[in-house]
Amino acid sequence: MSNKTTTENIKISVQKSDFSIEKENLFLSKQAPETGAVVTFTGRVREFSEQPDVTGLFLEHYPGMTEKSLKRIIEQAQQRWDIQRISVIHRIGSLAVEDQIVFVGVSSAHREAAFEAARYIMDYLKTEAPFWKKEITRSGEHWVEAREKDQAARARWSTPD
Amino acid sequence: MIRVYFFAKIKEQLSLDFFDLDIKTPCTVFDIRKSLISEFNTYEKLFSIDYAICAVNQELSDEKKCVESNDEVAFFPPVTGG
Repeated sequence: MSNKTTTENIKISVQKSDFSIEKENLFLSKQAPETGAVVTFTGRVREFSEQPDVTGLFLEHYPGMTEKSLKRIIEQAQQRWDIQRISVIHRIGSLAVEDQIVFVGVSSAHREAAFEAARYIMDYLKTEAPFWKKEITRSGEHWVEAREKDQAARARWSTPD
Repeated sequence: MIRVYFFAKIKEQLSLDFFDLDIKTPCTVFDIRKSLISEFNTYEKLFSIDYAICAVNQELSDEKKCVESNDEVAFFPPVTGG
């Protein structure tokens, strides 16, 4: 199962399957002589989270709203920085420790815009896009609680820098 | 009547993907929240304003948002993706 929006310069995908960082890098930089910077971020399932013995995750989302939300975040980033290409991938369903969960890649002429936009998209994705994580541990499962520090990371962008 | 969709912990605790709420429309998100709390009174915390987020037609909505009977309404916990 996968829900994809791909235009020439923007790719959004909410999918069960894994993704290839190499392929995304190619999408971000292929035939782009004007591109001077490509920044990519990959989020992975960590062993130690709220509890120390995480064996996996289950990712739920709100079909339709999630894609809309990601699209809006990307549009906001495009208004803020001079960006050339963007790829955002988020996985759903069952994942194991060390699996990739999320990918954000941005290309631009210069590094500053690419670094900032990638971080901006990630900060908003974590606090606005309707995804929910359930952690599976050796002693049971629990829904992950939202964190203050993620809200604080997003709030940084609303004050003029 | 309004069909209210649930996600994640709310969906799991109620064992419901959605609920058809008997409520007069148009109404506000606040009215829907109050009505859900009285309908599921043992789960009051799940629908508290400090916890449950409401989306109307897949847009995050505040308590004053006006809702019509054919709108898509969802209540869900704070998001934890990424």
